[in-house]
Amino acid sequence: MNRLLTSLSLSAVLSIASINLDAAEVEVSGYFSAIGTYSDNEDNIDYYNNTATKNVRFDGPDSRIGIQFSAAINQRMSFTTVLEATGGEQQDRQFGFEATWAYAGYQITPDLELRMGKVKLPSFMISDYAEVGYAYPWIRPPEEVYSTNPMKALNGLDMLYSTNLGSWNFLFQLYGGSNNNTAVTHAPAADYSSTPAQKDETFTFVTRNMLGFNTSIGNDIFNFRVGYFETKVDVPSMGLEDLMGSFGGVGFNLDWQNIVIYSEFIRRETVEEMEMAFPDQDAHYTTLGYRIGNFLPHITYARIDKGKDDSIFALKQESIKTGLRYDFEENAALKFEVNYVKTDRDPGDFTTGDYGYGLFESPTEKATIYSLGVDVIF
Amino acid sequence: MMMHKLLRRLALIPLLVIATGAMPQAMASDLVIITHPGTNIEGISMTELFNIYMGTTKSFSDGSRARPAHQEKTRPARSAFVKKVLKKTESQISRYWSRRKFSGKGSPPETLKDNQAVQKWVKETPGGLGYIEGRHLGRGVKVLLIIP
Repeated sequence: MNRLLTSLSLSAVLSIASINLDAAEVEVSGYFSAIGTYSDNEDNIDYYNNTATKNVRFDGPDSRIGIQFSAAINQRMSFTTVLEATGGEQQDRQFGFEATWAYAGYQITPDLELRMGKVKLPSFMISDYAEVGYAYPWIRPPEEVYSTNPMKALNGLDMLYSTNLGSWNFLFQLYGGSNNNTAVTHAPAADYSSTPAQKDETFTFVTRNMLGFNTSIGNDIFNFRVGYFETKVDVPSMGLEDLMGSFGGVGFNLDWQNIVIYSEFIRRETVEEMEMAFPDQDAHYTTLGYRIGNFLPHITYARIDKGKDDSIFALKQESIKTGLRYDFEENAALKFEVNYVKTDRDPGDFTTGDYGYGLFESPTEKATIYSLGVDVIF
Repeated sequence: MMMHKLLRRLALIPLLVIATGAMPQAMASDLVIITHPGTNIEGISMTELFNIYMGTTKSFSDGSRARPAHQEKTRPARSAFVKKVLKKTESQISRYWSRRKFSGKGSPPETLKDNQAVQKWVKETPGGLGYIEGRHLGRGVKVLLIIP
């Protein structure tokens, strides 16, 4: 009986889906990552928003599923939404689906598109597909750089101009809007704040009057990008209001014959009052890989360092990550990584210990993080 | 007056025949790039083909919308096209589209079964663009390029 009901409801769902497909050419695609992590940190200190702990876990924030619905309403108008569920410490919301992006696009000319709604925020070179593990070599984009901006979306609009010069493609994107965001409490700030927030808890912040651009030039083997935005930021829980911040980055990637290179540099700058929540930071990484058939061994050096204001709240660490990607199916990859992370010795501003925080939950010297995972697209 | 117009039209016929005759004949094993007869271009470059199949251009050189189609991955024509025009492996193409698709920058060309399916679809679809082996070239499509 149960099976009958299941198959009945399944066929009902399928027939609804096919009706929709007839109405507006809905394209459904998706991505899935199941990642297991383990940290050998001696003091049992969690790493990077609980990405890696002393316990082997498969339900961390790297594990996720996303489903993208794309509907072409007519030749000029389209609608796209991505529903995503991730693991990690979100308490009641672990693996709950959320519309991380939802926007309508209007093709003004063949080269120019206007998009409105909850659009992707292109802070980094691979922001557009940072959640799609299958699309890049690592298990997660290097966290020294990709942790520096927790915002993934922008409520507003962007204008996308894309044109070809022979086999080269030039892209210019202008965007503006606002957002309500959450970030994980900055560990040193939690220790020092006059109204201490708890470590590793999320806090909300608001960005307003965001304005930025993202531009790239490239072809199918090489891509170079530059991006920058400015925004006003409020962090109500820390009593911070209407403060300026800016974020810029440059990067390139190369996928030529068997050689794979990724490199990015970012700089975050905020006014002094903001240093507790978002201190100035510089960060960069470089990845080299060499493809051997379906295998891609790769190595990454990454560093996050103090920025222009030399804030005592700045995070400082470096890491060397070695990994292997194996494309065992055309739409699926198996990955293994060993990430050796080392924080900078604390100059003495904190009495908590000899070492700084880096991306750890508490001051610690080092850890080796092991990650194993599968990335699939469909 | 009517007669004059008719004569002028008739006079065009041999010209068209010559133009068609001048087009090199496709060998059975050649890869032939075909489009719908209504597409208002007479040829296509390898770069234009590449851009259309990689989704960075959505239109032909005259500005009209192109609708490219692939054959299934198991077909020899697909392997030849991917090797000669796209110069990539299937895995590279798959990774490429995973990046573009989830960036909201378009989706890959649709995939049709084989040579006959492409010939039929291109014939019936305005803006249709496809590749077939020379031996399967039939009537009702316009040849844009022959790749030996």
